[in-house]
Amino acid sequence: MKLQVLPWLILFLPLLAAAGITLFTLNNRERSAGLSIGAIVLGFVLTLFFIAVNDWEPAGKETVASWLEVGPLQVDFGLRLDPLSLMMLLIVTGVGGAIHIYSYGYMHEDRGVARYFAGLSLFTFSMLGIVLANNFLQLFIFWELVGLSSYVLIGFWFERPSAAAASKKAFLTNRLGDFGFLLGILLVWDTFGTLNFSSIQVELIRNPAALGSLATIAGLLIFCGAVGKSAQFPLHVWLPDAMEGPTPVSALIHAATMVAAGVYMLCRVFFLLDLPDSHALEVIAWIGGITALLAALIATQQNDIKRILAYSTLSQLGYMVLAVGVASPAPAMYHLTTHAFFKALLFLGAGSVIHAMHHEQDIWKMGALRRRMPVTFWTFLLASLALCGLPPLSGFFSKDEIIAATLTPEHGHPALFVLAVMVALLTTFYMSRLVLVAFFGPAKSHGVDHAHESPKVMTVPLLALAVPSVLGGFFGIAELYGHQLGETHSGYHVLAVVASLGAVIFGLAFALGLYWNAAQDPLPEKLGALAQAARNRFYFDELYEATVIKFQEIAAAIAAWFDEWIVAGLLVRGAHGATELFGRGLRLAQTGNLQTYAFLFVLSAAVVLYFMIGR
Amino acid sequence: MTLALLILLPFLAAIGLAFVPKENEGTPRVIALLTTFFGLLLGVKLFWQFDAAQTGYQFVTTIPGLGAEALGIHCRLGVDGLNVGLLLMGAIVAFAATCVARDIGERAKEFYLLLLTMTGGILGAFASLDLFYFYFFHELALIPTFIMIGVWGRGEDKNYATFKITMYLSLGALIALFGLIALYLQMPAGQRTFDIPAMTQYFAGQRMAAQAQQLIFPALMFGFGILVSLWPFHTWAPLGYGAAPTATAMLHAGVLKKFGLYGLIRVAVPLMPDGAKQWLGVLALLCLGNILYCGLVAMRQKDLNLLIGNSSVAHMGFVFLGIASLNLIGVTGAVVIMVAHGLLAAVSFALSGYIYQQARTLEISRMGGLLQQVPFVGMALTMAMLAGCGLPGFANFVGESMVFFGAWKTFPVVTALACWGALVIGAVYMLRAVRNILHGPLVDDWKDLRDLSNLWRRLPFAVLLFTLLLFGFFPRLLTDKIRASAEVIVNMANGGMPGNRAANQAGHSNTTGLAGEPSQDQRSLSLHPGPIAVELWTFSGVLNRNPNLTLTQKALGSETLGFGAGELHRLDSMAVPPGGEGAKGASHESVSRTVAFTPFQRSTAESAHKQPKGCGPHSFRFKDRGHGSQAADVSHEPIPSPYPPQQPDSTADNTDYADKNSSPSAKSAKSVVKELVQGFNGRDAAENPLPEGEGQSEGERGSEQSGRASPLEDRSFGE
Repeated sequence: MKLQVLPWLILFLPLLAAAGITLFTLNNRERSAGLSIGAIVLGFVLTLFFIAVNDWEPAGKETVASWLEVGPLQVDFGLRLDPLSLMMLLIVTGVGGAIHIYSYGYMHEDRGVARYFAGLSLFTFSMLGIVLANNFLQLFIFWELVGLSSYVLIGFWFERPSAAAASKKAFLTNRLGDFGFLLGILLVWDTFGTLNFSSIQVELIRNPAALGSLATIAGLLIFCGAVGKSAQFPLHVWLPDAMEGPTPVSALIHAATMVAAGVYMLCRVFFLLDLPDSHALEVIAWIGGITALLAALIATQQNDIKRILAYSTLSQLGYMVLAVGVASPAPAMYHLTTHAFFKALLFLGAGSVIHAMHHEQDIWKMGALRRRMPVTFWTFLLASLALCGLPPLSGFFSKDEIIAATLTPEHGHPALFVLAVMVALLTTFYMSRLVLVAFFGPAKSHGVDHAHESPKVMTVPLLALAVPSVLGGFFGIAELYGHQLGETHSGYHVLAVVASLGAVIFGLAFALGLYWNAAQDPLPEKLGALAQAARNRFYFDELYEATVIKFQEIAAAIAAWFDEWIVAGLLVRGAHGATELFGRGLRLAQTGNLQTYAFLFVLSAAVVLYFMIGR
Repeated sequence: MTLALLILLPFLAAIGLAFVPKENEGTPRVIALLTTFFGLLLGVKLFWQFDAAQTGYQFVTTIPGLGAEALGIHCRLGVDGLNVGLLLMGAIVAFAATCVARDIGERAKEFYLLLLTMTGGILGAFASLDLFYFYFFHELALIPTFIMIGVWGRGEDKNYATFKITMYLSLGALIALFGLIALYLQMPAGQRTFDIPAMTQYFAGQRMAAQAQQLIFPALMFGFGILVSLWPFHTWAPLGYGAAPTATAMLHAGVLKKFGLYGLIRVAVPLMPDGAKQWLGVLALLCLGNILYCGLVAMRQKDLNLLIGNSSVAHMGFVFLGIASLNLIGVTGAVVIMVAHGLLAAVSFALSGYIYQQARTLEISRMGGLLQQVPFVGMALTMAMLAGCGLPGFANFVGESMVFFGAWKTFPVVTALACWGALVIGAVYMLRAVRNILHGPLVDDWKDLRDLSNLWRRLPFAVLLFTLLLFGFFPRLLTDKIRASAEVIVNMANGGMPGNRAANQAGHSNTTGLAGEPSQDQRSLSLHPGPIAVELWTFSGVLNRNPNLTLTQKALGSETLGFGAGELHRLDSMAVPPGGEGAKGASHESVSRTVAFTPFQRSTAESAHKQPKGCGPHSFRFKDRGHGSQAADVSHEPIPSPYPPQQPDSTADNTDYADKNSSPSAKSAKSVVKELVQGFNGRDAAENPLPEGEGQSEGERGSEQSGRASPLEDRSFGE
C-alpha cells in the first residue's frame, strides 16, 4: 500500500480542526468555518487521491498502532481499508463537504458559528473513525463519540428547552442500544480472545460454530447497537426529535451518515450474523421491516417538513436493515450510499425552504414555492423522485435490489416482500404529498410572498448533490460492494421490478388525487383513528414515558428513600441514638450518692458469691 | 530524592507556614501554591522517569530519623506501577486544590497549613513501603480533613456532616488497623517486620493459614471499604463532600479516598489470597450496591454537590469490581479508574465549588441556562459530566471498559448490571444535571454570574481536564506503567498455594457440573465468615459462571490469568512450540504492523518488551522476569521484584524449558507442562509430592535472598 499516511491524515484533520477552533478561533467565524470546511474538503481530495493511487483494494488492508495492551486484552488503533470503508470515506467527506459549505450560508447569522463548526468537525472525525475502525472497541469508542457530537449539535440551540430535551433524549436512547452492543462486544471477546474484525472472521471461517449456542444472542446484542444508532424500532423515538438541531446537522448526521452507521456496522460484521446456528438475521429482517412500515405510516400524517423527512429516513433505514436481515449486505450498502445522496439533498432543500420562509416548517403554510425557488424546487423534486424509486434515478436501482432480495428462497419471506412493496407505495405517497403541498398549489401563507431563492453558497451544494442522486445507478457502486460483500443474487427479479414500479405509480396517483391544489389535509377525515394515531406517532413516546422511564424513576425514588430513611436514618442514626441512649442509661447509675454505690457493691458481691459458692 | 522531596516538602512548607506572621495575609497562599506547584513538577518527573519495564520498586528512599529501629519501623518510600499514577494524580490534584482555595476567606493561613499537611499525608501514604507509615500518613491526612470541614465547611448540615464523616472514617480506619495488626501478628515473633515488600515476600513463601485469612481479610475489606464508601457504608460521602470546602472535597474525594482501594490492592489481596477468594465474591455483589443503587440515588438528588458525591460513590463500585475480578485486566483497570476518578472528582468539585461561590446555592431546580452566562465553566462542567458517564476520550472510559473486560469472565451477570449502571444510569443523572443547570433559558437570578475569564484562574481546570484527556487518548502512558506491578499482585493472589488445594479441587470437580451449584467443599469452606456471608457467597456462586476459575488459573499458570475456564482450548497452542496460533499477528498476514502508539514513551526497553513475532506473550514475559531475578546479583539502581517469581516458572515455555531442566525449580515447571499436555487432571500429590508453593518458593527464596542483599540496601536520603 502506498501513501499509508493518507488515511491517518484524513481521519485526524477534522479533529485538528475541531481542537483548533475550540482553543483558538472561537471568536472568529470566518476562520472557524474555513478550518472546518478546509479539513473535510481536503479529506475528500486526499481520499480520491488515495483511491487513485491504491485502487479500491490496497495491498495491506490495515495499518495499525497499539492503543491498549494489557495481558490478553490487546486493542489496536487501526485503519481498515477496503471498498466498504473507502466508499464510506468518500460519502462522509464528499456529502459532508457539501453540507459543510452549505452550512456556512445557512448558519451565517448565528452567533455560535464557531461552536457549530467545531461540533461538525468533531462529528466528521468520529464518523470517519467508525468507518475506518478495524476492531470492535475502536468502533465502540467512535460509536460513542458520534453520539456525543450528535448530542452537542442537536442541542446547538441549547437555550431552547425543546432542543435541550431532544439532545438528551437522543443520547440516552443511544446509550440503551450501546448497552447491548457493549455486552455483545464482551461476549465476542470472551469467545475469540480478540477484537480485531479480520481475526474474528478468520477464526469463524475455520470454525463456524465457535460461538456455539450463543451465536444468536451475540448477533442480537451487536444488533442492539445498530437499533440505537440507526433508530430502529423500538428505539426509533429519538430521531424525529433530533430535528431540533440546525437543518444542515439533520442532513449530515440524521440522514446521510451517522444514522447509517448502524447499517454500516452490521455489514462490517456481517460474518458474525450470518452463522449456521444463528437466528439473528431473521429478527433483524423483521425489525427492519416493521420500522420501515411504521415510519412510513407516520410520515403520511406529519406536517413539519423536517419531520416528514425524518420519518422517511427512519423508513429507509428500515429498508437497509431489512436487506441485511435477508442476508444481502451489498444491496443494503448500495441503498445506504444512494440514500446518503438524495436524503442529504432533500434536507438541504428543506433547509433552503425553511431559510426562505424565516423558520417556518409547516408545509401547510407553504405552497407555490415552485416559481419562487426554482433551483431548490428542481433539486428537491429530483431527490424526491429518486427516493420514490423512479427509474433511472439512483434510488430505483438500490431499492429494487432490496425488494428483490426479499424474494430469495433461503433468507427471504413472502410477507417481507409484501411489506417492502407496501413501504415503497407509502414512500411515494408521502413524498408526493410533501412536494405537492409545499411547492405546488396556492400559497397558503404570507410568508410565501417574501420567499426568494437562497444564495449561491447554498444552491451550489444542492446542485452538486443532485448529480449523484440522479446518476448514482451508473457508477458501478453496486458491483464494488458486491465484490467485497458477496453477490447475493444476480440481476433484477422481474416480479420485484413490476411490483415496485406499480407501487410508485399507485402512490403517485393517490397523492395526486388527494393533494392536487388541496388547502388542507383530507386524509384525517377519510381514515379517522388511523390518521390520528399516525399523527401522534402511534403513541410510542407516551408508552415509554409511562413504562420504562416511570419504572426507572420509581426505582430511583425507592433507592433514594431507602438511602435517606433506612441506611442513613434508621441504621446510622439508629446506631448513634442507641449508643447515646446506652450512655444515658449508664449515667443513671452514676448518681454520686454513696449509698447507691454501696448498695450496688453489696448486690454485685452477693451475685458473685452466689455463683461461686451458693450453687 | 525526588520522591522524598515530594512527600516531605508539603510538611516542611506547613511547618514554615506556622511561623508566618499574621499580618502577611497573602504569603500563606503564595507558599502553598509554590509548594504544590513544585510538587506537581516532581510528580511529573517521577512519572516520566519511572521505568515501566521494571517490576520492583523504584526511587526507593529511606528517610533517616523518622522511624524506630528497635521496633523495626523505617520511613521507607518507593514507587511501583500501582502508586506511580496515584502519586502523579495526587500531586496534580493538590496543586489544583490549592489554586481554587482562594475562596477561603478567614483563617487562610491555618487552612493552607492543613491543606499542605493533608497533601503530604496523602502522598506519603501512597509512597510508604512501611506498614506503620502507610497507616500513619493516612491518619495524618485524615485529621486535617475533619478540621477543615468543621471549621470552613458550609451548609446547614455542616456539623452533622463533620460528625458523621469523622465517625465513619475513624471507624473504618480502626477496623483496618485491627486487620493490619492481626496481619502483623501472623508472622512469627522473630521475623516480624513492618516492611511491606518483606511482608509480602514472607507471606508469599509461608502461606498464612486459611482460617486466619478468612478472618483478617474481611477486616481489611470492610475497614478499607468504609474509607472508600463501600455500599452500604457510603452515606458519609455525599453528605461530607456537600459540606466540605472545595479544596478539601477535591483532595479527599479525589485522592485520599483512594487509600482504601490502594490498601486492598497493595496489602489485602496479595497477602491473603485465600481470604480474597472467599470474600471477593461478596465484594462483587456489594459493588453493585455502589454502581446501581447509588446511581439511582444520584438521579434523585436536588443539590449538585450531593449528585457529584453520589456519583463518586457509584464510581468506586467499578474499582471494587475490578479488584474482585482478580485478573490482570481488571486490576489494571481498577488502578486506571483510581487515577482517572481522582482527576474527575477534583474537577467536578472544583466546578461546583466555583458555582457555589458565585451563586451561593447549588440547588439544581433553581439553576438553568448557565452555559450562556459562564461558557468556560459550563463547558468544563459538561466535559466533567460526560467523563463521569464514561465517554471515550477520557481516562475513565479506559478504566471502566478494562474492568468490564476483566470482570466479564468471572462475574458476567454483575458485569452486565455494572454496564447498565455505567452506560445508562450514569448518563441519565449526568445529562439531566447538564440539562437542568446549563441548558435551557437563562434564569434571571444568574444574569450577573461571572465566568472564569482569566487564563491563570482557568489553569487548574485545564490541567485536570487535560490530564484526563491525555490518559484517555493514550492509555498506554498509564497502563504500561501499571501492568507489571498489577501482574505481580494478581499472580500472588492467584498463585498455587497449599492452603487452597481443597477449594481448587472442589472447583475442579465442578468443571463438568452445573455452574450455579457450589460443591460441598466450597460450602464448608465458606462457613467461616458467618451465616450472612454464606448466603451472599452462595448467591455469588450462582452469579459466578466459572466457579472453577481458581483451578484453571492455577493450572494455566499465572501468565494466562486473564483466561478463564472457557479458554481451555488455548492450552493446545501453548503446549506446542511457539510460532503456532498463539501469536496474534499470525492470523492475518496481510496486516502491516507499525510501531507502538505511545508518543511519549521514553525508554527503549519498551520496544524490547514487544513480543517477537510468532512467540506467545506468555513465554516472553516470563523470560523478562527470569532475567530480573538473575540479574539481581549485579547491583543496579532499582531493586528487583521483592516478590519471589514463583508461578512464572511453571509456565516455562519450551525454549527455556530445556535450559532449565537441571535447575531445581524446573521440576515444578516440568510437572506443570506435563499437566498441560495431559489436559489438567489436577495436580495430584502423587505426581507432585511437594506442595507447589512451598517447594518452589524455598528454592527461590534462597536465590532471591542472596541476590537481594546488595540492591536492597537503601539509597539513603540525601544521596
